[in-house]
Amino acid sequence: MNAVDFRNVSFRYAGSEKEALANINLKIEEGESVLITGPSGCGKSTIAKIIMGLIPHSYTGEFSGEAYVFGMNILENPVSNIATKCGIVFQNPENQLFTFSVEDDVAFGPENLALPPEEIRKRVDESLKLVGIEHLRYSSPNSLSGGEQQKAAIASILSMYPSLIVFDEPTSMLDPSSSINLIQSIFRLKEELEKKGGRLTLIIIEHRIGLLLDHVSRIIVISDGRIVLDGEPLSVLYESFKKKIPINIPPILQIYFRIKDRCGLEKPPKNLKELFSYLREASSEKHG
Amino acid sequence: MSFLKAFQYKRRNSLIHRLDPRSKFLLSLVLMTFSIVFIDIRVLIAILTLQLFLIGLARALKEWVYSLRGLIFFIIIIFITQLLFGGTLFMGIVLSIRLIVLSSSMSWFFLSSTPEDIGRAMSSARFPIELTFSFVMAIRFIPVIYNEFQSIYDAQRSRGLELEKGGFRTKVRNLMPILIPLLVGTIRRTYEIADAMEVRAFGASPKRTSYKLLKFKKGDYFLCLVSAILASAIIYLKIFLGLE
Amino acid sequence: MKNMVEITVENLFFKYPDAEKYALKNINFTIKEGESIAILGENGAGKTTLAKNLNGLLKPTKGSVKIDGVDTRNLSVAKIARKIGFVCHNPDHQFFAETVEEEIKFGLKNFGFTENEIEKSLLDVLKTFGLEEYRHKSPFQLSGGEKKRLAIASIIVWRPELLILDEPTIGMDYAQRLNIQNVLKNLVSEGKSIIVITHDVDFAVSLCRRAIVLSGGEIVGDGCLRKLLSNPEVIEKASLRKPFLIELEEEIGFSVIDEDFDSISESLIRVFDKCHS
Repeated sequence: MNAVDFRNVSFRYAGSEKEALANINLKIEEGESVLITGPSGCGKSTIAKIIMGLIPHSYTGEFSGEAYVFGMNILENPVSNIATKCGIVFQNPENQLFTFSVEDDVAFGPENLALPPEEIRKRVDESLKLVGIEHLRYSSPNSLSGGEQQKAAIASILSMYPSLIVFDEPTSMLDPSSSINLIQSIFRLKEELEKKGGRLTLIIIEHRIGLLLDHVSRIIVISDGRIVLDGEPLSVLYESFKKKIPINIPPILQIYFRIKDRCGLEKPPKNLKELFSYLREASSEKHG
Repeated sequence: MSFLKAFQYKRRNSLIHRLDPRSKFLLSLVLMTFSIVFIDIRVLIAILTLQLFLIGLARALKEWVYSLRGLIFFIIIIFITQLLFGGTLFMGIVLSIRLIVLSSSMSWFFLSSTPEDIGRAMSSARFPIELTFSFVMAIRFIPVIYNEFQSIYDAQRSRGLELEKGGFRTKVRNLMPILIPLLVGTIRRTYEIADAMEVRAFGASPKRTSYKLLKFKKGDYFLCLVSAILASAIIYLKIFLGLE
Repeated sequence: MKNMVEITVENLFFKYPDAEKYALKNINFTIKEGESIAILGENGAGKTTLAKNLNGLLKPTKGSVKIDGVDTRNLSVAKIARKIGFVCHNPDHQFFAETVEEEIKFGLKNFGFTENEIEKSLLDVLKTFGLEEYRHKSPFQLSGGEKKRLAIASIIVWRPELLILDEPTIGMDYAQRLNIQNVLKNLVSEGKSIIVITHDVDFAVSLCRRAIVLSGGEIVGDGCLRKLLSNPEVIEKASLRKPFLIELEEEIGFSVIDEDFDSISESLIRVFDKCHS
């Protein structure tokens, strides 16, 4: 089944002249890890809000087309229905934790679903463990660092047992080392779940492509409310390099794309050391 | 602001913290009644001693002392009015102790009960869930919004804004560069919080479960018993002994 | 030069009220005219606290910060702000006016500039920052990158002698970041002193010559930015990363710092052809 299926989806926010999204057709299969990138204000977050049903249910504007998540038509299902299948982690960790202990925040979703207390306890235990923050269980959100808050926010989504999680610029307020740490724990948790036989689809909206390149199997580039590129990461980045689409291509690839044909490089290097050894190889072949 | 400290919960684990907020609330109501009903210094000192013992058990003496600093202003007013309107120094002392007892009964409760426990107590008393959550979140976001206020104030001071300058009208006008960003920021925050609650199925089921239910334990029954004894003491002392 | 500002920080210790630990410990350094400095370090290392001590928003708990020889304790924030501009990390924390124009004029009015000066400075800054077309628009309608530019413009307009920027690239996308980088580069080349608080080492290396590296409230390195960022010990202590360009230079053995990717790629091809011909 498709986790996400958008058919000619367009949306214009009330009071805005321009369409935030125009004619989006998008299918994401269950289990995929997808990076959505593009300049600020290009419509990335609008896609996230539609997947959750927040658009059109909580935002006024003009919606057209059809959007399905796990077969549910978002027009016909309230957000709370969709929330049992999909979760979202937003940019600002502070505004996603509303209680006084991490534990209570993780229990918040299941409590809303009126699950029995034993079941909630089990889910809280599991979710905290999956993101590795058992030691923060009784801490108050105000006392946590940004990275820890973001992990608590992830745990509070995991306790809903989602099949899909959308991350809307989850690291934009974190420093580089906590960003790397957060991304690693996101993919570790996917692995853990899949080991247990579960399935998790990840959609990550981010403009620091370098952070995610090793983890995702597909990149979608949005510009001006339209999908301009969609496919396997390296070829998408190469296309955007050629078409000069302003996205954040990692520096090592910036160089690789410029010299690969002229130097006869076949594989993209992971780091500078690798680039230099490839270059040495290539030039010794050329010169015999 | 310092006396607000007394109402700020600090995460501690003490005998008192583990008690049910409902039983604690009952006791603090009874203690408060003492300070309202009696003006007899012996009674007031007895109750203050009991409160000190309770606050000590909650390991919150430091915060309590801190909260007293905030009362100094009111105590000075008490003494001034006593002196101006022909009261005695002794009366000033009595009234000050009375004020301390009154404030301590509330601060003991707030220093030893988590806001979420208070929230749970509210929902078990069948307050509507929206109301309970508004209460919990208001307290949760006070420090967050205060920090935001501080950042905005710093940003505008760095642009040469001087609040202390000028007459009343200038002062009010000078507040705008602080209040507008704060208001806009708070509105935006409210929307973000609402989104975050909605995607966790807030309002999905009318029968929301509570994962940690409040339970009356032995200590709570004991506290209720103490409250009952003290309540009878109020009646006895007031009606049968006729204490002021 | 007369109108350059000099900051001397001596044995500065700073503790927030109610905090148990010092946020800054034993900080010593001097900032002279025309410097471009990056303050680097992790979240919570004390970068912003240090900056706020430099412009008087915070006063030292122990030790002193002197601006042109005067202790900040004896100066009002407004007085310091006239010389030292501070751009906070979140532009939304400063916008309140109905139009971009009014937003820019705010500082000028506070500092008592004359009508003529205000008009002239406004036009100048609108032009340099490419904000002319937004002059009569509301600041709240601008995009993230434009807001950032306006935030900087509304400070730079009264020509402070030193500009401090708190995390200018946070949350910015590729194009916005490049734009801010160019704006600041121009300021530096005009001889303006700037201090950039950042954890974006690639950004810092393209802009600043000197770095002050903080970790746990203490200075773990102060000096030439490029030397510090090729020092594994400093990098480790402050959990930084070696900037890409420095790594590249170490591999090829000559400077590429001011070059773009096109010319870097050309140099690489040349180097590898030479090895064999």
